[in-house]
Amino acid sequence: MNYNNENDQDGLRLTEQLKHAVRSEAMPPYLEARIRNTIQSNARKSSMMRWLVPASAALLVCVGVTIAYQLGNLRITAASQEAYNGHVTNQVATIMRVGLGDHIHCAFFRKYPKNAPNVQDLAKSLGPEYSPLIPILRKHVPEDCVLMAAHECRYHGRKFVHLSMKGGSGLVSLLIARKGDGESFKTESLIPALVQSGIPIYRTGVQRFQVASFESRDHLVYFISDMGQQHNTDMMVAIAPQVKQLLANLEG
Amino acid sequence: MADLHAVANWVPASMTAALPVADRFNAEAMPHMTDIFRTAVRLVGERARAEDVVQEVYLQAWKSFHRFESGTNCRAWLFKILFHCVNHHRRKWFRFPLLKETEDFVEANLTSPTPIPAHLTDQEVLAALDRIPTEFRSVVLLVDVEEFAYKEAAEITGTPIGTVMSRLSRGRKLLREQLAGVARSYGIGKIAEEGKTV
Repeated sequence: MNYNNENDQDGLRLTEQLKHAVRSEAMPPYLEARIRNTIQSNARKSSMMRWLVPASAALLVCVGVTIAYQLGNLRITAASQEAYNGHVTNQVATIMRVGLGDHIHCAFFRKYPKNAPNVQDLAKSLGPEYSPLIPILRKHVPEDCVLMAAHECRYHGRKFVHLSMKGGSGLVSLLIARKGDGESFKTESLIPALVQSGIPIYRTGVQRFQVASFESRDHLVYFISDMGQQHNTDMMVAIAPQVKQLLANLEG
Repeated sequence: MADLHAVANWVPASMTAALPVADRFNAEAMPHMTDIFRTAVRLVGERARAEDVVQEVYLQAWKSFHRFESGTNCRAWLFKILFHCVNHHRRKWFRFPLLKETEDFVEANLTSPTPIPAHLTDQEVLAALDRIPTEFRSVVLLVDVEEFAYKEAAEITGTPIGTVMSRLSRGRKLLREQLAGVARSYGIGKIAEEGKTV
């Protein structure tokens, strides 16, 4: 060591004494074994974690996928979509299945374009008889809902007038179908949830779908959304008088 | 994990790169445990605490061994971890003085070189070493006892090389001063001052 003064010899002697003194400190014999054990148990834990983390992640993904599938997402084939439709609609009254089935078939599984279609075009495709439904619906649904489709469609052999809207509040459908023979809420013995302006409003709900409906002389009208039961019913109450009037005019 | 006892305590660095991690760790890190322990004892002042610190050093070394480049200075790397752990514990224990206080200590204690007794016991040397502030003691231990180069000591302590050199110089002087106290207790300094021979 470099003791660069007159005490060089003294300094070297001191360094040697210091080395000797510090190195005389013996390590306890058990310490090495203790450290090896600590490292081994840590290594075991790490190796467990190496498997546990991806396994947990995989399990979470599986659970997520299963739940999503149960809720109707990830249904790619027509058969699986139809199976989901059947599974959901079987949980409601027969007369409610009519509108709910078409909503799931035509609105829920539909691939919507990124930009909303032109309202004039939609009105044209709906025809003069039913195009007045567009302003009625647009007047009452939340502002963030955009009209994405307005057309006539068929599901299980039945023809529907179908308007669907999409937005932050979710998916909304207004569906009108002609009644079949003897088809009525009264014959199904359903009790209306409320009567608004003399119109009995019926409602039901399954999974995310809330259904509110009423009937005219020849038609069944459904308002279906995933906005929550009360909100959905309120919407139907708001549009029912005007829609019923429109249908009454058509029915003559 | 493979048994850490699986390979001998020393394997040439060029050969260890190809070994499994546990064997490499065993070959490169484990042989330095005694050096780490004795330095830890001098730094923390208690054997029991030193044992805990050494255990922590090796556990941290094991966890980050994948970052250690085989063939480089494993001993210096372990000492760096040791100083990190000791600093961490020092903050936790609140028992070591701050540098400001140590500077004051130096100012108060540095005097001209004093004769050192020819026959000092290890206990007397260690007691003197333990009395000097940690910052100076650390550098004396690294350079004079563990024989690290200034540059290595600077990297281990995370201080500039100039600081290491000045702390070493001051540390040595402080150690001499402490040992001079032992000399005075033997009557050596007093006799020299009086110009008498023993």
